[in-house]
Amino acid sequence: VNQVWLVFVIPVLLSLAVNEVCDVAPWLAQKLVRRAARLWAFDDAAQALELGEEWAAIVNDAPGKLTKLGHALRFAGGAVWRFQSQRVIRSAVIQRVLRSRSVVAGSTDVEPAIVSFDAAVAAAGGRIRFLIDDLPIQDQQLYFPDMGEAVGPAAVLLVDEQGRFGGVAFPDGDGGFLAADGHRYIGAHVELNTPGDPLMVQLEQFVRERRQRRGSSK
Amino acid sequence: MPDHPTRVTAPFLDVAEAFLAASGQELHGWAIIKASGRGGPTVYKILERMASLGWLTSRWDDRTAEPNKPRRRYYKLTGEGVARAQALVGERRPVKSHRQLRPAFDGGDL
Repeated sequence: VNQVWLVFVIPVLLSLAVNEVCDVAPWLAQKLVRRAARLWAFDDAAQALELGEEWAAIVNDAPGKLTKLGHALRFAGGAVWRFQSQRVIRSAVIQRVLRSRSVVAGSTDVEPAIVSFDAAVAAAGGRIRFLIDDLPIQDQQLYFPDMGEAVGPAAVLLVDEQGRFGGVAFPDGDGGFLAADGHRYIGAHVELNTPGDPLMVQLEQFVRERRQRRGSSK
Repeated sequence: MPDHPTRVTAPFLDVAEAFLAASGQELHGWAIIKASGRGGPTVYKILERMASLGWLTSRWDDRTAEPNKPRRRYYKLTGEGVARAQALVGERRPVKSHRQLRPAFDGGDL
């Protein structure tokens, strides 16, 4: 009986299973990429729809059946990674290259330039790639064009889900950032913060208020 | 908006080269993935970056003959994108000459 199972039944069942998986793979791949596109686009429903269709076309173009699934899984992996990053960014942390003077002082291969806040933003191509020596934010700040990748963040900006500025957190020495309220955040990379971005608007407002407060206290 | 990438990576150059090799032809997603040899998510991150730099234009395919199939999206470098991509690739990946000196056997003329 065992030999019958080994010789006939198991191979038949296996081939049926493989056949089924191969047939289901393209359908599964289509479902998977549309879901991946939703993750990728985060909260942009229109982009999610467009990307979903575009990626479905890519899976469609890919040869083979299991290959389609392979490509879909790759998209899904990338989307999950991006979603996690975005979630961290949007829900809690905008990690940015806020530099403390002490961190920068340790580096000797970068020439610091004193620029204004606005000039720093402009020089960084509208990105938050600058700045401060210490809180509160100063009128004149240190700007290091490529320090972001060089030394890592000295602090992160905290924003809520609407992109409103919510404070600053500092490294806790364990790869995370500790805010004043005791919450711990994990940093993530931010690429897009153009001057018109809600976060940038909030930041600029924050800086203006700081300046006004400092001006009135003098 | 910056007009050049702040961080140039090998995948970025691969995708740029794929577009340059297409010599002005439009490429859809699968063609870019194949030509660049990079994975889908990597390619799409780079396409986003290129689009934000103003290097790319895109349009949807009109597949009226196959209504049930998902539409492709075609990408093409803009004029500025071509110039900047050529400059970048030329700078980072200069073309190596394939011409080699070979010995001339049987007394061939040089």
